[in-house]
Amino acid sequence: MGKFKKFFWLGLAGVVILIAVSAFVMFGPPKMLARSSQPDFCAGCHVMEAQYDAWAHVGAHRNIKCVDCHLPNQNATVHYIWKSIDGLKDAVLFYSGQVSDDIELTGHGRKVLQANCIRCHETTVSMIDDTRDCWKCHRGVQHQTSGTIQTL
Amino acid sequence: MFRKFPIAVLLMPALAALLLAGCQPEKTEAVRPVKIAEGEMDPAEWGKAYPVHYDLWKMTEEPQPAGKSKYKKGWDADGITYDKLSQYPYMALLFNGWGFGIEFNEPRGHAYMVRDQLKIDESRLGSGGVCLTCKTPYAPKLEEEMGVNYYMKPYKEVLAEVPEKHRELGVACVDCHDSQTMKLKLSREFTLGKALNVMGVDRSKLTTQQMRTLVCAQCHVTYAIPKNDNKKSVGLYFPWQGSKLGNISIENIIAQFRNDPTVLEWKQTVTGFRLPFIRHPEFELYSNSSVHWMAGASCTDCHMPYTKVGSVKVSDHRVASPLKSDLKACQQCHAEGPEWLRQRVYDIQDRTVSMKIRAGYANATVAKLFELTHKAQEGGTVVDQALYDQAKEFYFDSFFRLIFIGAENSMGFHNPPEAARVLSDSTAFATKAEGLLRQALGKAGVELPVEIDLELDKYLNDRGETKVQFKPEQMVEDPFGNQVRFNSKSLPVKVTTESPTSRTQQAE
Repeated sequence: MGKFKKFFWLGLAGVVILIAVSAFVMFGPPKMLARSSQPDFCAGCHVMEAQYDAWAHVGAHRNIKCVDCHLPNQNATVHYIWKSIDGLKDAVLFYSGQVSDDIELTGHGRKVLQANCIRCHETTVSMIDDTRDCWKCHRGVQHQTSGTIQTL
Repeated sequence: MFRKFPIAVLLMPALAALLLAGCQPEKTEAVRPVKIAEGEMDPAEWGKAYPVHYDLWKMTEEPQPAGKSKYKKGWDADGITYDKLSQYPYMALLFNGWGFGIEFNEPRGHAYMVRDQLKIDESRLGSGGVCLTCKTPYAPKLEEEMGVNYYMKPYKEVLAEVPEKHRELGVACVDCHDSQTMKLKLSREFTLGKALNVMGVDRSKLTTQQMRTLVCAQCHVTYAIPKNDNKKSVGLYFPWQGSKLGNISIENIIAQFRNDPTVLEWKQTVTGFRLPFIRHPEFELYSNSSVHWMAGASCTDCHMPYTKVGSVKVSDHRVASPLKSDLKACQQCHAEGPEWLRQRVYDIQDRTVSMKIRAGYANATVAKLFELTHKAQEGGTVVDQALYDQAKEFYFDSFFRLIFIGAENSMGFHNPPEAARVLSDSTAFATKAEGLLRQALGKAGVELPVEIDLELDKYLNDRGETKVQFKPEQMVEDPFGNQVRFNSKSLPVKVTTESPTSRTQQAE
């Protein structure tokens, strides 16, 4: 057995163990994959509490989750890729203390959000201009202007 | 297996991911069994493909419920035609000399544009075919085919070039839409297209939201009609030289009037001055940093609000004032109820109409003083030329500011502080002009009364060949009751059986 083969098998064993642990954390009893899709998980960081409260007080959209609007949902792969990117980014920003008081939508976040509005309301908006941000008119769905944040 | 195809095994998850990424639900496309032919003008044909929009558009033929708007009652179910010269008698004096001083009614809107033209006193069509520019969807075609004859030839001759079936057709689909993509498209390249170029607007960067205003700005703007030596119309342009999109000012419009002597369209009888004219500058006033413009609202957001028809939302093609549909459009953004909102509109309009009436009579007084001055000059009196010239310059400034807001169809609502600024400047220029003329005449020994007699009866009654009469019941009085203190002798008396509105206060 050459040197390369030894490292290869060791490395592969490492990867397999890593995958097994990840799979256990994500799909096993800790149910991390499912839990990280829950609004409670998003509000776990205190910086998101105001947004969580605002969401909890709005009407129809109380029945859908943060990730239904704030992550791409056209298919599972894109969804989970962005879930890991955004999740890691949030974690880094949070633990390095870089989250501002007013959390604002990024350019990418805007596109994702708009696509998700259209995903559910596609028929309704089929005959009108769907390039304007839906929430600029339907301001009640914005966390900032839902009427709850200002009074907190 | 891995030993044989290590790369393949590594690639497999990647391929699976790619496959999954490709699996998006297909976008649903509405089924359109009807294809609209290129160049199709007939709205009924477009309507086969877009029945919902067509039905809403057809509704513009129906009158609106009466009593929903305080100052704009053009096409209400009560069937009354409102005569603007009776509503604001000073206008009869100022516009005496051409069609606008004979018959000037509140129009019935898009569906009746051509029919209203055919109904009104013929003196109003004196400019020729140019009057069709915003009235028939065939105007761009006619302009292209006929060239300068389109502007110059008599109105009825040019109208006869329109296919008989569509001779009375008003605003149609093709005025704003591309027939194939249904995208918003300017049809009036020869007017608005050129005007946008004058302002240096990059057309490729215009958003749909901006187009939702610009399609309206094809017609809801003021324009100038250049004349040749024989006073025949030879063109039409928007006086936006020196202005920018979002800041077209009355100052720049007046400067352009001073620069271009070919746009002196008519002669004001009272003063004998040849003047340009201003029509419906809705776009100019609204887009000049008004609060709603700055908030990103387009004309269509308020006048064609999104409305649910079945399972889809469409923009309401029954174009109308939001007042007529109980402020539904406003409530897209404003959380208050319809009556509260209506009162806010009336509060703005009451104040604007008061300023407008003040400026109107101040201008009428100056016009009458010019008449007195000219009579004195004819009798041999020598009047100080410097004072006279300064008064004439100020009158030019005051008159166009007055008719800019006067012709604008929102009674100030489209831009309340700008309307107030322009009207207060009009009054300031007019009162200064009055002072200068009084000084000039006083110096020449001509005695003048405190209140100049406006002789309004002369201008209000027996107008034109059809002898149009003053309708005292339609007169709009100063809601704050101050005008009577300036014109206690010459203000017509409003004949009314209704009790005055609560806002009306009597002057002490």
